[in-house]
Amino acid sequence: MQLKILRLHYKNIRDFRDLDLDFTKATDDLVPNHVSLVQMPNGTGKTTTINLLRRVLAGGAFTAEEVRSFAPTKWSAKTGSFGIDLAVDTRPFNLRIDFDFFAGEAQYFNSKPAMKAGGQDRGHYLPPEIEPLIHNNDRFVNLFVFDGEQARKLLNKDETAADQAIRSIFFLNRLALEKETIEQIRERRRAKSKGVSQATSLQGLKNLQTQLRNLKDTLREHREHEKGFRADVKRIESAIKGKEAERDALLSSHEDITEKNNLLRSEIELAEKDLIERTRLALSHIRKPSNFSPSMRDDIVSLGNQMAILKLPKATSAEFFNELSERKICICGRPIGEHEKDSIQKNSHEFLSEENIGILNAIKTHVRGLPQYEGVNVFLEQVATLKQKRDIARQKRDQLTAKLDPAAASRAATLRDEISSLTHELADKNEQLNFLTTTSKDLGLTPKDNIPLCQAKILEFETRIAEVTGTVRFERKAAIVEAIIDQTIEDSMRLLKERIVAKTNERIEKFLQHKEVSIAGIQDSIQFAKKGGVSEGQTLSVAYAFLSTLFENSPCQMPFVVDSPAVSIDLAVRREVSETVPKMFRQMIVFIISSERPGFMVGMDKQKEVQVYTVYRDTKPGSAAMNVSTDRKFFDEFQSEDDKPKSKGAR
Amino acid sequence: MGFKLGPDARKYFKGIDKESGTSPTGNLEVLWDPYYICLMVGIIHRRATPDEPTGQDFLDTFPSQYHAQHHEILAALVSAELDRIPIPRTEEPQVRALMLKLFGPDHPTALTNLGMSRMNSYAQAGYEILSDKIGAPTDLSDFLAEVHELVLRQDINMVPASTGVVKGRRST
Repeated sequence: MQLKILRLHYKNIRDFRDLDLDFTKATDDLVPNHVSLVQMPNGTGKTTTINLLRRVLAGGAFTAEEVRSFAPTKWSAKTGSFGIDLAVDTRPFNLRIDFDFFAGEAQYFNSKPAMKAGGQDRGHYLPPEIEPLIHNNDRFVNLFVFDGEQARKLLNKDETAADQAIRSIFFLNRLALEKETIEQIRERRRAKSKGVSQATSLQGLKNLQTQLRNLKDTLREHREHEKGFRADVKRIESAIKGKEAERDALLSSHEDITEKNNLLRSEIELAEKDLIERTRLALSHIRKPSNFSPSMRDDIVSLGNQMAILKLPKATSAEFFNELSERKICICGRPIGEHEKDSIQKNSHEFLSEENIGILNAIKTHVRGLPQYEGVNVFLEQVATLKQKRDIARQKRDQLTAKLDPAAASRAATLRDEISSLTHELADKNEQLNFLTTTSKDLGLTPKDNIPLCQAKILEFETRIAEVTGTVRFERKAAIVEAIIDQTIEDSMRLLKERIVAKTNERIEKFLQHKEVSIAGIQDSIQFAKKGGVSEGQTLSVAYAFLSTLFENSPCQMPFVVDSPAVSIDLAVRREVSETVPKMFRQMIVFIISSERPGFMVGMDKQKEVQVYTVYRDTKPGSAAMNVSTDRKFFDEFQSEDDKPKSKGAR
Repeated sequence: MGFKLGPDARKYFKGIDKESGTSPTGNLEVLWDPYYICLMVGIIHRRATPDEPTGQDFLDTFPSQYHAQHHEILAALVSAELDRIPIPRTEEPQVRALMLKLFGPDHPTALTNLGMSRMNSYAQAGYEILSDKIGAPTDLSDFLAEVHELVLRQDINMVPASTGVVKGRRST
């Protein structure tokens, strides 16, 4: 796979009014020349071109100040654009940045390989094969759109450019991103299991499991108690029945006693039934406050009367005044200004809302019509009479036993006491059973003394444990995956660095005539084996050797765009570099100044496909824009006064 | 916010309440009954606790057995509060302002949070009076008779409360 730069388009960018640089072969508009040599004088837009190339490829945002820095200075223009035609293998696409110098805004446009000619989409686009490598990855783009500053970064021990370059090219940075994905999943799980987050540790899980075990033990005990209580209730009921039957049998041995006993029993049962009914009526009666006590009734009626005297509630509501305040003219005909409006709205709070008026009217209407106090005495007196009747019948029944022989009478008395005692015991057991099994939440019970509450708590703990178990398992797996990723990156980096150091050193030997420069290793940056000073030319050559080694192993062959590659290199080294470097790249675009030509062109002339371009300022009167020439003679003879020789060997 | 009684009050009524009562003359039929009896006793004594009782709400609206007398209960509350603060019953702006504080349309009971809170304080004070004067009930009819006697005695005495925030009863 190969990424190719086919053309650049400038419109109203600095000194470029309307200029295209076409790097393709005359015979095929999808195949670029192997080497495109662009000669541009200093100060005419070389750095601008390099910066725009980097931005258009990586797709970053622009500040208004940056946008305006691209505006032409020699003529007036509100808008401008910089475009690049590219291809991945045989699939062309393009990217363009439109600048609005007035608004200080930049907007990306693109055409995808599948789009028909001329179609443009808003936004940045890169084909999926190269998108992960380039998009928003300035560091990687800086490796193939290269200049002296990047070379120094590769070798500066305070920079991490060399280490990062290896990680980018071999996708190890993408692998590291997977750790971020794991962390995002971890955060999502934590947010989801909010409330159990404290228990996400193994210790937290163990605590929850212990509490669940204890709850299950408690439930088991509850169940046993329930079983015991139910058996007790059954046993006591049976015992009561047996004893009642024995007492009835004892009394039935005397026919007259039996008949009287039956009558008294019916009388007692009837009285008890009536007692319950009368008590219920008494309770129902006092549920009206006006029946609770005479003073209560008087209070309520008096309040109703007082409300009538006070004319409470007033018929006019707060809503009325609020609506009035919104009108221009008052109902009295006077105008309502801002001052009046504020006053009306402020004072409207003293009036009741329509809903409150409704409540007060209901109270007033209800309490003013209350009948006289009707005490609960009637019912309570009936209750007292019934209790008396019941107690007399009980006494009479007890007296019946006196008619029995002494032994039978004694037995009947014992049975009566036993039945009474058993009845209390039964009530007690029923109460305990009720506490254990009730679903009522009004008794202040806890899971320690109630089965349904204990079951609910168990369910709650089981749910929490299920969530925590899932989280703990995830944490274990995530830790393993993270460790694998770390180990993979560490091992890969070690092996890759060893291989790259060896191959880079082979290339350095080819580039540099003397063999005293070599690299010892790559930590964050490239480390020279030679101690002491290293010339700028040596720095640059080592950087080319390193990069070409990297790109040779890259899954995608990148074009190599370089700014002023020979400006600081000895003449002899220039020849070597210009002869050797192009062989390392499938496409190379070199921006040079005229003073770099000596020595450099010797090596270049040995390349098979070299196309030269000279970008020069139009000298026609009234025109300050840049033009381009592809004539070799013009290229060789072009000399700009702006380009001062910088290398010691340059002339 | 709902009707609330402290946990001690719940235990007090255990012998006659709907869930666990074993009274031979029947038990209270509605969970709200004990609350209502306490409330009435508190209001008649013009006594309210300074703070609301703690614990869970056990009902948040009037049960159906009390719907018909809903407005009477609200009137009883206003009456008690007029005496407690105190506010002269002839002062319309103050009476109206009190009603605005106690009643609101946002809750089905027509009580504001403050109104509900005052109800709970009267009910809790009523429980304290009951538990002081009457032992934990085991027979509903006996309990109703004792409560009746207690409130009639209060009607006769009309003495100012010795504790709590209540200032004493209106003398007319």
